[in-house]
Amino acid sequence: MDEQKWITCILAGDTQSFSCLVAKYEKMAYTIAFRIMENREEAEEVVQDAFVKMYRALPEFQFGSKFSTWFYRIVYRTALSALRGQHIFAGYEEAGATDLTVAEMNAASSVLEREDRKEVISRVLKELPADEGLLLTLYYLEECSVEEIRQITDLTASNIKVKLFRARKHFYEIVQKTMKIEISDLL
Amino acid sequence: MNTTEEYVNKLTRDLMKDTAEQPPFSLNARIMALIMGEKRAAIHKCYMKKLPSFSTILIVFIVYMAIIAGGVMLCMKEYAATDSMIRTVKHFFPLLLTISSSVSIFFFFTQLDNWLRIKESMKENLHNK
Repeated sequence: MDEQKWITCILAGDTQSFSCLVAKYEKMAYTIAFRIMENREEAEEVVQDAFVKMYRALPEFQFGSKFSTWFYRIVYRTALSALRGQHIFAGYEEAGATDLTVAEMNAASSVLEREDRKEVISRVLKELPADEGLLLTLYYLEECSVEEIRQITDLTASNIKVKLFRARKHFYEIVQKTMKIEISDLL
Repeated sequence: MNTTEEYVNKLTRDLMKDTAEQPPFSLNARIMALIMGEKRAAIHKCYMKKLPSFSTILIVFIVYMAIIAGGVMLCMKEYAATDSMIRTVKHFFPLLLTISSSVSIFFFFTQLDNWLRIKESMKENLHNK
């Protein structure tokens, strides 16, 4: 594993190896921070602080979990500290969302073929609440498992599944609404 | 997991592909600058811990003078009254001062040399990394 090699070099005093860790994890760390902070400058501050905390904590990392899971937890907790005690996850929720409708899936499928798909989806993600955007990012973009998300956020596995289900439903609703607005603008 | 759920998961994954936010180009450099600062602070902290304090050096000097003075007195086998002791000490004070100062200064410069070598090696480690 590359991380193991880099960490060994960093602990031996080779600080340049740290730039390899930064290059690999900077983008995802920034994405996670941005989903929580919803502000670019604050997300940058969070990412800087998180990397410094990671550097200080490196001697204690024993590869008991995936390095990415361990680091993303640092990013997540640093972002929460920056929010000064605000919680982004409201609490345990009962599954109230319904399954996706055919219309929602069709609207989403139409986005898939567009050249500006990334821009459209980025706008949709920004409209979602911070907790939903974060869960969708971790599960579908970074492809973290429910267990890894549990280690990052301290939520229970069942709570994560319920919130993911609701977040996905909300995501598709916004995609459909965005497509309807575009069609009505064209007409 | 049924087909619809699999399809929805795949669709969601495809929709979200490459939608990670792009950090500014300067972020990497800023992070590395902070890390280099962390490293310098750690080296400086370690280096400061090894410095002997001025009071330590002074106390060691006085203790050495006292030990050497006492040693010389014993060698001279002078157990006379206080006046006689003070006269003897005054008589031999330059010699006492020279011997004790030499020993103390030798000790001081040995420690100073050691300390300067540690400082140089720490600076070299920092520049090499």
